[in-house]
Amino acid sequence: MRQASSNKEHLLRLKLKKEDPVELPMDDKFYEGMHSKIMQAIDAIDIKPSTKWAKAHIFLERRSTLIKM
Amino acid sequence: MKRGTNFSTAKKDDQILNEKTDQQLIEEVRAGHRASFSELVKRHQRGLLRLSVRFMKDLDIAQDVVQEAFIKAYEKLNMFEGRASFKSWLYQITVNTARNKLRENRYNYLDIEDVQLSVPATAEKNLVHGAVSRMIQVEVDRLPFKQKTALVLRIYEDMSFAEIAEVMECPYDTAKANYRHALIKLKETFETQSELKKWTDDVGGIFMELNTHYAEAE
Repeated sequence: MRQASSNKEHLLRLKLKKEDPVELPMDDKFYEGMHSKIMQAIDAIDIKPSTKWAKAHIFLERRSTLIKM
Repeated sequence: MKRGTNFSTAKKDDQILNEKTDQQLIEEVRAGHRASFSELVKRHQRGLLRLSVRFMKDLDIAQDVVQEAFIKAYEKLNMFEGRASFKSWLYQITVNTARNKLRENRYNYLDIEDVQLSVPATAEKNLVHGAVSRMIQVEVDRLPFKQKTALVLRIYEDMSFAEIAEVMECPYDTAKANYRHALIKLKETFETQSELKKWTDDVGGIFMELNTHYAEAE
């Protein structure tokens, strides 16, 4: 029963995926440009240091994201 | 000669970076080796762009979302605990960034929750005569954000429910339930639209066999 259900779900996923209208650029140059842009932005910033409040910060941030969703 | 040597050294460096795991690269970035982050960007930018385009519907805006997500990830790298995979963490940041961007610009772009109200009846009628894939996309876009996220990650990103739960920061069962509700909603819509109903028949009627146990298996 579980196996049959799993196969059906897999089949449905394949069928839906086949109808995917999203087309992304295939050109490597596009991704090289995107990568350069991202790295330029990264070069201008620094990693925030870990503080003793980091864990509390993560917890509160997660909570606020969950509430928003 | 010297140029050739530099080229082969650079190639060798790339190969060494390629062989490293995400976690190893993260440790190197934390130790001040920025080039290792460049490799992480190379590895994940395509996947993140694919995900972002599904929410933003515009390549330029989707690129901005990906860039913002990488910046946030870099800044917060010390907060990455490694409980989830780096990929899941990046996807989580991207989904949240896309969500915030849609909220900020809800009057400029169509927000996912607003689509249902803003698609006029005539447009809907025209869509029936359009490509099935477009119609499916319209229906997917109408889903509530959480359901759409679960569906997109499962169908288009081939993620397991455990990974989806990590990205959505929710329990495993909640991730599964969101996916199942998304499928059930699609099924209900497909039943009422003749073109889509025809498509489900063409693919063997599997959509119509959907029931409460449908998404039980991993």
